[in-house]
Amino acid sequence: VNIVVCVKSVPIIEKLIINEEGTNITGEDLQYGINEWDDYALEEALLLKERFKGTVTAVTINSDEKRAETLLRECFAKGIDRAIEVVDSSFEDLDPSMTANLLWKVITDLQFDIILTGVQASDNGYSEVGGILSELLNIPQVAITTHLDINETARYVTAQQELEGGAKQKVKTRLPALFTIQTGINSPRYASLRKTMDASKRKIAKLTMKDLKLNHNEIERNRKLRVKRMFIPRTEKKAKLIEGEPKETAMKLAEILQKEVI
Amino acid sequence: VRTILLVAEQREGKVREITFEMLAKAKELAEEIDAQISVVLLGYDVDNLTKELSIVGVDEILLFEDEKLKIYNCDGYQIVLSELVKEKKPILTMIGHTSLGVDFSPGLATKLNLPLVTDCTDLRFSNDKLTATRQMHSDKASVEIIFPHSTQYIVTVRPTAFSPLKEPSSNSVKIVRVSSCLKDKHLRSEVIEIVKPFDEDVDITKANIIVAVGRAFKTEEDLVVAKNLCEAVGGVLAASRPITDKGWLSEARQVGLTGKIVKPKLYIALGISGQTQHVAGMKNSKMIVAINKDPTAPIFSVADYGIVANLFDVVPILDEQIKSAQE
Repeated sequence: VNIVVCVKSVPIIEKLIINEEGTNITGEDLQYGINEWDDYALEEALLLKERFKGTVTAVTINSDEKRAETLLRECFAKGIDRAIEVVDSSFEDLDPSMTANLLWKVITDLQFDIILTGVQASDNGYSEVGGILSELLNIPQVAITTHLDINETARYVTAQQELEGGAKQKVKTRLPALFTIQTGINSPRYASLRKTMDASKRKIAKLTMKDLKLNHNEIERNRKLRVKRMFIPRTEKKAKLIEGEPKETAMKLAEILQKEVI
Repeated sequence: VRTILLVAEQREGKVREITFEMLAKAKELAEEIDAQISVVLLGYDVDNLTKELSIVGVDEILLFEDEKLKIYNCDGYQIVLSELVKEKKPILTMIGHTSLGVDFSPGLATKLNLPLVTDCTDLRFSNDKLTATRQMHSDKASVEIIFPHSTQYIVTVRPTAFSPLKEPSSNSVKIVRVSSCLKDKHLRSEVIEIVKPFDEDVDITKANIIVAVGRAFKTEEDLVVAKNLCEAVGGVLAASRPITDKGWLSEARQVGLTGKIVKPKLYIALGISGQTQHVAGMKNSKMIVAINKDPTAPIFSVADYGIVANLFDVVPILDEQIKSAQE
């Protein structure tokens, strides 16, 4: 099976700071890493490849060359065969429709049986890109997948889709198809030091907007949403905080628990 | 006349709570912008649910029944709803941000070339232009979303964002049967089985005291700290999603929207930040205690008592104190 996995580099946020315009996060020393959901999607792609043979191609869209490259090197270190990036500084502010349209331009020319994305990205959490992409490619999709079973000869997949409250449903779909992958479907591997070293020598296919025969206006035409304002939600602090050194707080809490509950 | 189209969600012949939560907001918006509310119900042999959906503020119920939609079908929902949206031209289409909503809404919006904004926690109109509020960065930031090029919008609404509206309508609500346009060839996938959650080792919904662990537990060995506390307080161990995802505890112990809803007498949240996904599953506990080293963690807005500290410094002493008092 030939698998395409869409991966995104996301900021790892300890303390969130909002820019002066109040439209996005900021911070010079922000660290970036693979989106948690995409890490599970990548692992699922690698597991399928190990089982059924074939190739895994990772695709990423980013505004920053270095972030895209770091991400794809990590994917190589874990075992992908091919990496494609589309980088342009104007991609800072893509909405899900624009992202999906860019991915479509790249993927439509590839050979694939299965496309995997994460259910959502930890930064904006839209859960839209996979669904839009499947519609653009005119292939069926299953969102929030927690298990994949492929019948390679009959060319169909039985996917388990997560419902609420611990229930699930089994969805049978023909190939090619797209699945958005939920966390917990597998245990993402860590890359060994040797493989990380090897990955630095692998070639990344770098596509520009020109390669995709796109210009800014065409990309902007797919825009559906814009963030008008970002702010830190005011949360009403209901909790009565127990102050002091750890020992002191533990003793006070033990007292409260004994008096009120235990 | 403007229309708000609200997609009712039913599974196995039961209307899901999100439907009534969306209705509450839809009624408010409809009054503001002078719109009518059309509720669409998809399924087979579900006409008995129209009574339950005849809520105050609802103007009509569009009933689409086809055996092909006896069980949910992604292509089926997308095709039927896209036809309805083309016909009714609603200013706003509301869908639950549930598993099913997440599954079919992006494709639906793409078919219609309409904007979709997901997981909304608030919606408001000004001059017929929608502004949607939602959360980003794991609920650490709120954003207001606008739609530069459109006058029609599709949204998915976060479960528990609004209090459900269940007051029955005093007049009888018009029921409109929609004829089926579905053909077998349209349906590229099928749901072959709904799998109920397993009855596993433990039923956390019956526990009086729950000790729940979250992302602050970096290794499986760390869990021993929480297990000791369980022993001291006579509690049952539970977890937020990241812990069950790693397989350190069984899914049966997961608290949250995708796990179990619990209401124990005492809920002790250890190293849990308190995203909506988790909080929706435990906020009705009688007493909530949270220990987290991040003072801005949203868990402190639902907890009754909080300690801002590294839980691994506090909990072992807490055990000792409780155990020695019991002796």
